[in-house]
Amino acid sequence: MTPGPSQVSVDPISCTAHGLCADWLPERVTLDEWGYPLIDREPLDPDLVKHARRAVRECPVQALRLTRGQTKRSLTS
Amino acid sequence: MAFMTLLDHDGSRCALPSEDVLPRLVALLERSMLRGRGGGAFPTATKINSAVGTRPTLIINACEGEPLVAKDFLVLQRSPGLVADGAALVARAVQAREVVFAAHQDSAMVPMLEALIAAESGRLGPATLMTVPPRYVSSEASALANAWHTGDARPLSKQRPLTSGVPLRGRPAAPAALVLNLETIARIAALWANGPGPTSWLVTVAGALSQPGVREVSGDATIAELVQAAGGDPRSQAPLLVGGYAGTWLPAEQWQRLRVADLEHVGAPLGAGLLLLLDEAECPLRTVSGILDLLAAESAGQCGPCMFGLPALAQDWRELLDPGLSRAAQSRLARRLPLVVGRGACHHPDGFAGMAGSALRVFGPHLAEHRLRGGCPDQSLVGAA
Repeated sequence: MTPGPSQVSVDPISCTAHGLCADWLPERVTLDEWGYPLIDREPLDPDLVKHARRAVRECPVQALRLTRGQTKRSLTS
Repeated sequence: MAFMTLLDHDGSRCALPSEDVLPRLVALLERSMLRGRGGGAFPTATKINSAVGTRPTLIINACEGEPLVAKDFLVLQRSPGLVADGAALVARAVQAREVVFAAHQDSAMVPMLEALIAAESGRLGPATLMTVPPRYVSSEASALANAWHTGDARPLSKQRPLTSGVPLRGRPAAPAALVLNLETIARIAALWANGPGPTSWLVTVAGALSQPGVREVSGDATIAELVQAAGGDPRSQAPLLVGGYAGTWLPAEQWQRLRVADLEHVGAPLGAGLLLLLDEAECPLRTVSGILDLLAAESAGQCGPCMFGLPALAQDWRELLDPGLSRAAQSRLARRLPLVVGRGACHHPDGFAGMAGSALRVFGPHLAEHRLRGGCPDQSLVGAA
């Protein structure tokens, strides 16, 4: 198993549609018609990880994060 | 009763040991396979296990946020002892740091909960009543946890379960929250007292009926029987909305052949227990439109895909009803409906898309006729649009 991060994900509350993530990681992020990120869950190739890290750093509201694999579905009642 | 009743409970109280509650409770919940009754149907044993060692805030959700549903009210009114005992059991099992009952501001639950908290301090210890604004998403689990810690009853982004800590914005995470529906809590007490056994379902039958209301039935009860008992026509050709406003549609030819226990197996889970029967003369497309408008207006307004997507999709649906705009609207819906799923902090957009998608599938033929004639099939039976 690769130990490194394999996906980016967005915190939908913090995200205010600046759209830089789509600029920095177009291989995995496109924008919907309102400017919000649509993320391809295809795992990141190792050579994309540095671009993903850049995208995470460049988000003005720190809404983008790197994760290892699928995030767990939350427990809701 | 052939099942373990909540509404006709005899009022007997549970013995509450002070030790070994957790292993006994988890074993009981695993054997009985209890799932939450707030709408999400999450396995209760799993949820409680995730709270072990966290000293969580136990929040009992008495908001009854699903419109038209009234089962939690009835459980609290008829069997407050079960509610208190269930809360006490869970609080002891997980060593909850505090016990909170959450209800909508000014709801009928408030005085009943105040009375319960006062009367049960011996068993429960000091418990607190928290009221939240009567908005649809304010009773979502993370919204309640958020409200408890910050007063803001809006959902939070969650990467991990709430029992791992409540991820507040702009501040350190708060301690774990364990949120359970009021009916689920009462069922825990009933199971503790009786052991696993046939469960009951609290179904709220509403719509084109003379005697709507909550009924407690076994899984073997048929939908047709429930409709008839509520003063509706069991042979009605009208469709049924199952679960809640964000639920699943069943056409007559399907719901008339089903029992309550069959619902989850046909992809129409009971959720919060709503069975909404339309009137035969009612246009289901217009009814869906009204519900989508309501759901769109209930967005907490925090996440782009929800706050912009849902109103846009509700507008697409309205245009579906206009013969001139209908085809374009349907193709926009087909493209855009899946795009809101999974992109909010909570499941509100998912529920919206699920109900609309279900309606597109079930009412496809009706829609085709609508487009052709500019109105419903059997237009002669329908009043002016």
